[in-house]
Amino acid sequence: MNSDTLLIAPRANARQRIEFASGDEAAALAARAAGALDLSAFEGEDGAALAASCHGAALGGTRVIATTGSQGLLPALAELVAQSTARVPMVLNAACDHAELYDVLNAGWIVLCAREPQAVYDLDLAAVRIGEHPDVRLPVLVAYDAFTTRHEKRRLLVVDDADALAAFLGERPAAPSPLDTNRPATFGAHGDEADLAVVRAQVSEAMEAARRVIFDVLGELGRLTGRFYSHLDAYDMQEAEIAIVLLNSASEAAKEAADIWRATERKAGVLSPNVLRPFPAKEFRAQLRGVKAATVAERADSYGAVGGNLSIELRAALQQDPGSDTRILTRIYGKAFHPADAERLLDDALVAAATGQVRDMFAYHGTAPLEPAPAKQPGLPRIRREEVSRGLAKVRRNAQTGRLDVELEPLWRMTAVPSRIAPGHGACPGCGAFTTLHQVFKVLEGDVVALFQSGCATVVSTRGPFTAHRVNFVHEPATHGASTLSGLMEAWRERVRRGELPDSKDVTFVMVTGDGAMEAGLGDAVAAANRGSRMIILEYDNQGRMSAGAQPTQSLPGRPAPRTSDTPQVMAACHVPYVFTASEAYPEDLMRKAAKAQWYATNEGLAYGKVLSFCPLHWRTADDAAQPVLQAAIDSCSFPLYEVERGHTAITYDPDATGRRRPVAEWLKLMGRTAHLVEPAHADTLAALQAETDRRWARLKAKHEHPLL
Amino acid sequence: MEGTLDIRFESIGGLGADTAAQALAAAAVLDMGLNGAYLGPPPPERRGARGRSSVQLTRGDRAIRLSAAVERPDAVVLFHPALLRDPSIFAGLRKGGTFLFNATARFDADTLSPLPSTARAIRVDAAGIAAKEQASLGAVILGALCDAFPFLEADKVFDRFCAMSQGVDEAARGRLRKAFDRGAAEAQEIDGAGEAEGDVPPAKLELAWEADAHGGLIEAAGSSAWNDLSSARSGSLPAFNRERCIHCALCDMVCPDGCLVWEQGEPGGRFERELTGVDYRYCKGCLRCVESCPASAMLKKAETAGFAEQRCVPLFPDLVE
Repeated sequence: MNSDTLLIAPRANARQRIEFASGDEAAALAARAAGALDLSAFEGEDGAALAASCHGAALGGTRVIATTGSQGLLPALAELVAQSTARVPMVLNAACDHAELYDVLNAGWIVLCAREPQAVYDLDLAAVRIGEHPDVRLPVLVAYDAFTTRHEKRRLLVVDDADALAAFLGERPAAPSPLDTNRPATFGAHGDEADLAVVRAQVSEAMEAARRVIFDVLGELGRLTGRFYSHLDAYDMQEAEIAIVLLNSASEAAKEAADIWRATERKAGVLSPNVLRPFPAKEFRAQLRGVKAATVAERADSYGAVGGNLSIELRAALQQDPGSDTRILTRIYGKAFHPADAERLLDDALVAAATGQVRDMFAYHGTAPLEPAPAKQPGLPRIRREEVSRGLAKVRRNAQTGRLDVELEPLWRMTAVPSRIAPGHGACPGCGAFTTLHQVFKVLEGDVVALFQSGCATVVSTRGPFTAHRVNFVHEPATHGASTLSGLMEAWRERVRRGELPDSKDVTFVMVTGDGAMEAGLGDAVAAANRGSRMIILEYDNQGRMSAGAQPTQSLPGRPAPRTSDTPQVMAACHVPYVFTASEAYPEDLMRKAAKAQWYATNEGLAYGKVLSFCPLHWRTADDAAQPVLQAAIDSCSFPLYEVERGHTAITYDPDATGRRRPVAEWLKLMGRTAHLVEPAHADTLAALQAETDRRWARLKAKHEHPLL
Repeated sequence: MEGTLDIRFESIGGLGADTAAQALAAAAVLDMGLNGAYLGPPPPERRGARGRSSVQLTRGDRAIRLSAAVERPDAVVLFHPALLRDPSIFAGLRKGGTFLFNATARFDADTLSPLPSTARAIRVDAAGIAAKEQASLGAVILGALCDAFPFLEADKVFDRFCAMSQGVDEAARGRLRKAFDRGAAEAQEIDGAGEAEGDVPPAKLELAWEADAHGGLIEAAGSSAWNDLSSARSGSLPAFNRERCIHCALCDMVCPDGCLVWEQGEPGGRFERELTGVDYRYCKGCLRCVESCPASAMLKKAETAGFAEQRCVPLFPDLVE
């Protein structure tokens, strides 16, 4: 960035330069400095896949530093446990909420906490050394806050002295590796119960050893950078009678509050652990000697335990100190935390200190009943079955072909069907997910129960206290939607059997997915297909993970590496009765296929449709550029329109036959996200994309022509 | 500089406020020897959605302690004039603070009354200048901001802004510079705008858990119809000409926001179903209806004050206020 600005921090042994960076960028800079593999881009499917990939790479003998978020950390839990017990060191940055952080505290990882991007960089470097130490050999989690540290940028000093860095980091100690074919070994063997206790005892021992190692490494780091970290960061604790204890970025707001209090002769300090595992119990006891009351402000709760993990463990630590008479209060706060919040919580501690009485040991901060409760806006009138069952798409089986024919009424007639999605949702201008849903819902008849996997369409349509959905809507936060919906349908069938619900074929279960969640939940979708679950899976394919920050999904056809998941072919291989692709650019075609999907989901089994849906934000086009871009995707065979009906492939739009076939470049050049691919520098990539697209199209045509395929 | 300067940028996604905020903080840290931080909304900046970005600047040897969006700003910078109607943009502004806003000279001066009487209000017609110079809003507004706070080194802020904007060649740089300089030259202080005493109170966030149903349950199906999305438009809207309309419903198929209003046609008339207009409460101005219309019955129009209100055909006239 500005590498000619070099700084020497006070007492630093290494030359440093200034960057302006976010928490994630700081982690990436540390990874580069440590010569580590950064597999963050591997988060192709979900956090568990990322963690497993990292585990594999670390097992192979490389340094690994990766980054994930809350939604990645929690699914990774099983993998995290496997890795710590296998004693494979690596560094995982987690830009997360504290609920997920608490959820993984028992995974056997060393946990460091970074309040700001500078701490992310510094602690990442330390983490490499700590985890690799022969007495430790444990993976290290560096946790920092989503929404703040992840999305803020700050001045960042990075070590600009390769020799000094190399001397600090050293070589990764050799360990047995499955890549050493001369010494075959078994890794991660499962033992019996006694062995399990031994493995856990070993992890516990390593965790204890880490206390000293962390102390030494943080000291060395301080001499290198001039920035010294301790197990427990203590701010203004000298003679403090009141203290506030918090994790990560909120402790910065608390320091502001402490400054304000000091200015008025009120002695308040701030404690914030840099190390959460192993828990700095001794350090807490030492700092809280003489403190009359402390408020632990936490962003997450250990429900039913009367406090989050931080306050529970802090109370346990103080109980070991017979001399301690510090009163501890717990306050759980929400997302934003300002200095004024810290002052209010210090006030609570002050009252406890003055009276020796704790009025509310445990409370949620910032939540209160609104007086009077706001009048709820009523919903829109319930959609009656006959309003949406108008026979606008008549489905009939063709006796000759065995396939379904659809007779579709003209589009203007569809306008009489009330929309199952109300206006007023918060999607971007031009969003194609909602035009796709609009078109499909126009022809689905009867009652609809919809389940949406997490993604943009969910986020923007269900922001409480309002919902855009006029039919029953269930949100599946992870990517197991097909399983959740299968379960719901099982309950439906059982309750119909018991006579609790009317026996009706008029209920259609639809799972809606997009933003890459189709791929992430593919295992569940395959399982639902194999069970023969009678549902429609409708994917709005916007080719990005827009709700998670515009990461590309694997659905860009022919992307040379990694291989794309051709989900319609995967689902067709499950022998479901109906699979289709369509686009919101061809409403009639999409509506015909949606009507067929409803018929098959009602009468035979699972139907899956993948619908190319315009996303101007990710594709980087004008808001009104849908038609030409979608048309080019279809005409270039990048997104061919076809269906697989009872195992028979039929291309429903053939650009060769109409003379509209275009090179892939004609599509790519229309979008800001891909326009660079048509430049000469990317000729090889483009040629590979074209070749792969041609190959898939040729295969599709061969299937179309073959009577069995 | 003395002390700390907290700035909050108020906008909707897609207007470039976030880039401007980042460029300002980056210039301060990398080029001006200051310490600074930027905190934005989580990416991606959803287009049309209300968003705020924060910048905190202080001396190079002082600590930055930004852990949430700026709560008590010294300056509020407004990119999107439609948000003037929403007094929450002023939340927490200090009594001696600065409000820099993008609006034409015909803006409604009453919207400034929640400002402290002691605050400084500065108007710049950023949209007008940006359109004229074929430059971005951010260039104009940063120019005006550097003028309002002379410790900001204009050239350095401008350079960072160019470096962080996409695809800026020499010609574009020239246009941006002209816009930037015009922002500085044409920003106008407005006297006697604010009427409030003291600091504007900060936004109060009380989470009303007792009033909410448990489990994220929302029983008012379709209640989003009470939302007003009109501030998501960034300058253009579709104007409907019923005379030309052939009521084919192609526009309806591609409208993501369900804001087109249909009725039964006149008995015995040419059309069984007729499009009667647009409910601009929900229209975000994507113009996909204009693009799809085979009869030129939907035309792109620059939004002028009052147009949407006058021509709005409500979807739920008896239900939604």
